[in-house]
Amino acid sequence: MFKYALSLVLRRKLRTILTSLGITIAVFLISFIIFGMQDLQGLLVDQFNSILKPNQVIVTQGGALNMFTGSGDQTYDQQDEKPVVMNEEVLTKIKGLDYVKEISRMTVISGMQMTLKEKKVPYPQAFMAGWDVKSDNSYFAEFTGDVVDTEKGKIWVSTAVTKFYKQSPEEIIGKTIILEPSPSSLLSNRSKSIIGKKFEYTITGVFDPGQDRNDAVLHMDDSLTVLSSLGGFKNNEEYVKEIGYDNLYVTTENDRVGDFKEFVKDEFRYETFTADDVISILGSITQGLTIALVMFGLVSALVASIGIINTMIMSIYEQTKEIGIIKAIGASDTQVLVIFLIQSGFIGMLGGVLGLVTIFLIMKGTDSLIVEQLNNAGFNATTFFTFDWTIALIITGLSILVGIVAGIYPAVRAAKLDPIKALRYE
Amino acid sequence: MIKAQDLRKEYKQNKKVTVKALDGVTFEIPDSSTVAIVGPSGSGKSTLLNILGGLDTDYSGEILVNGKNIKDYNTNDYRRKVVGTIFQQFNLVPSLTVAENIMLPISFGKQMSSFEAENRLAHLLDRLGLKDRAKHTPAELSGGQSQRVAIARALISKPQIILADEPTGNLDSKTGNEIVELLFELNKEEGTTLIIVTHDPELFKNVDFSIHLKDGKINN
Repeated sequence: MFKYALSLVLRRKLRTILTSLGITIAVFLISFIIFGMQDLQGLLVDQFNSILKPNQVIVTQGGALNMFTGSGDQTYDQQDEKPVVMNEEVLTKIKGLDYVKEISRMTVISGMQMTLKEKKVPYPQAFMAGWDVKSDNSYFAEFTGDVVDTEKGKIWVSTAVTKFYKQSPEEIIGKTIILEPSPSSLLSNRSKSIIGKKFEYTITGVFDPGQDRNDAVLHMDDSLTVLSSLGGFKNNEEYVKEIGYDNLYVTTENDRVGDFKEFVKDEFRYETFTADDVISILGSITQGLTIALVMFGLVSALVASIGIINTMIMSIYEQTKEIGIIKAIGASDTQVLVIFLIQSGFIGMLGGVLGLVTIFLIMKGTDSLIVEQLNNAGFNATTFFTFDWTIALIITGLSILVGIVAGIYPAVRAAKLDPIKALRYE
Repeated sequence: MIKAQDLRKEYKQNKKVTVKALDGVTFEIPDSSTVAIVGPSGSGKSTLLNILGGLDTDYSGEILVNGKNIKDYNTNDYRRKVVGTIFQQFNLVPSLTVAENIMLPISFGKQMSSFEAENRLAHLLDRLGLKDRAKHTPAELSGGQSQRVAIARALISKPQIILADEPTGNLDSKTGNEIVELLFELNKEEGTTLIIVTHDPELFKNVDFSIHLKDGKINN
């Protein structure tokens, strides 16, 4: 009976294949999500976890990170309550918390350009940070040089800068960098106090910031000197007191991140940014993509089902007489039903297998390319797709199910045919 | 023994006209005999055959096979085990081989063990001269060969009754005669009751008796 059912569906090979293509597309989309997207999310999360550990928090006094954390529209009430200046007083309070293990201060210097002293052309629009940072910090994807902490008068530059000057990290270490306000800055207004300001540093290390845009790291005191000098402050202490640090990079004890976030929000009205925030943003992005692809997958499964119903009804017309014959020689209604469900299930299975074969070949063919692209973009990926045979089997099963469900209506119609009328049908 | 008692069936052609396809048909057919059902078209031959074949259950009166009303049989079992049907147009399944076509009734109901079925198949292929055609498809067969496959298919489950609906209607007279001879031979060998609907005078000359139908009535 099974063989007979297959012989029926294979009688029209082209039509069977064309009908199954709908399922192929649906399976392709859905398995792309399952085999690709999950890994993509995992990869992004891994990547971010290497920069920001689950027990680390970035605290910012400005709303600059709002656009990343998605805290929504600005409101009148928010404007009313200005955050506290992130100065030494604040630092002392945070240090006083028993669950805070480590605090790194951060300042951001923008609107500057830097020039390698031996070259004429400046590296424009440099993004720089003053940071209590160590060269073995997990923030760096790679670090060349042997200095653990930034020292006064010394600077670390990023691989973007070494590439710009076409030098290897080993070559550039020991050379001098001149820092001056960029004449073409878009990020700050011109100020009389910045004219003619120049700072010189010796390069002691080269770092790879990965996904981040960060061109240079200075010792905290040096960065404050630059900022207070450009801003016309008396000294570094006055700058910190009036303006404060831009961000703090705080490590708490495990599971206390939440408490800490709440504390700085209530006490100082600071915004915070943690690995969890990033993961949830990444999650919602990949979730959005997943939902879109699943929708496409479901819509194509629906269209495919309609195609199967159509094909099966067509084949009932073609096979009416044959249904009459097999009923006359003893096939029961149930057996006719099963014969037709086997046919539609086979179409579903064929579509599923074709879809899986297609995605398998695409995965094999493009995985190395995608990995290469990801690694060029700063990710640390070894594979992008992982083909899971169990899931492949489940997908095949579901494809068969879709075929069977789509085949129910035509199969019932076939089973109910009156054998006498069917035998007379030409 | 097949006993038909006062068989009646009416069709409504439209709201006003009712056609009496069978109008009080009564007969008895002894086991292993050969019977021809003859009559002009519209006389009720096909209706009678459909009722005897278990395809049409909407009639009044009764048919007893071995003393049991055929309505009391399981419809599918009756079609599988009690009757075997041979059609004018052979009605083989084009996508199956000769052997698979013959075995089709067995695949719908396990009338016998697969060992027994294989033996039965081998015997019928041999007996009907289809041995070297077992793996061929119907498209590769002549009309006579196709009808022999259909006969083998009707016989595979060792039915008690063979119903043949104009079995020579689609064949030239020489082949037709061969098929007729074969049917009569097999009737003796297998001990089945052979009921043939036919127009062929050659055919009903040789039967044990015939049922002449006209306007749904027996007109012998």
